[in-house]
Amino acid sequence: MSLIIACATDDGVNFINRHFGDADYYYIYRLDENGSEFVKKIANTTEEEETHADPKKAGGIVQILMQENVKAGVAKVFGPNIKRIKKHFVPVLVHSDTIQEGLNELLNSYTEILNLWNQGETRRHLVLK
Amino acid sequence: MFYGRGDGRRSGQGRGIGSNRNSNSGFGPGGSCICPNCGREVAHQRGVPCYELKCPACGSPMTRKGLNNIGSTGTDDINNIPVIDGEECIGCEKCLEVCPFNAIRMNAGTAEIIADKCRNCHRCMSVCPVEAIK
Repeated sequence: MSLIIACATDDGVNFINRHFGDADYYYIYRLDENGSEFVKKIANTTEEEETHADPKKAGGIVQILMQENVKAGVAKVFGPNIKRIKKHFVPVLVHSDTIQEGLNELLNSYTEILNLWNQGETRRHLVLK
Repeated sequence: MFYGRGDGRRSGQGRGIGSNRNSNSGFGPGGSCICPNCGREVAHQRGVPCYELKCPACGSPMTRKGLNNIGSTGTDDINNIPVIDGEECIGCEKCLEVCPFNAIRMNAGTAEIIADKCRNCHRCMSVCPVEAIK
């Protein structure tokens, strides 16, 4: 089984140092036990938050990523909306600056991410630090 | 004295605690009231118990900032302050926002409590979206 993941980035190379939902783009990768493959780049078209942890913002992000069948969202930082988005996909915090290094971290934890995905809405986030 | 219409005052201006009062009159020395729910601060109003004020943001009763009577079970026991699990923290900074004592800082993407500033109010624990503060 492969996992579709979304990496929060502005430039396609590095993870942003802001919250997952603040990224300009999400780079979509297909991940399996053997490696990763770039799928596509999608723009974050959601509007700015009206308040911190705005439910509308979370809903917009989820809508965008569900269209791509995303099962894990990857970033260096998440916002308080993590409690909403984790119902739809696995939030994964990485330590790496670059997406490439982050993908390697994800590969090492592939089974753990898959297990969290299978837990459904009650799943927790995963910190790879 | 009766201040009715036609006394030269515009509608809405009375003898209350508005901007027409002289500076420093009406407010206690320093101090402010703080909302134990959302952390909103307003200047303390002399003669008005903080708990009688409603938070302008969320409507919860206010309490006096600087006192450890903010509606929690916390104490000043420095050995019993909350602990942040760095393996769980997502770096959202929500705890920083609500801490009335500026007792939390970020370190390498993870929140940490400054022990000598923490008053053990536990507000950070209640807002952490991933229950990383225990």
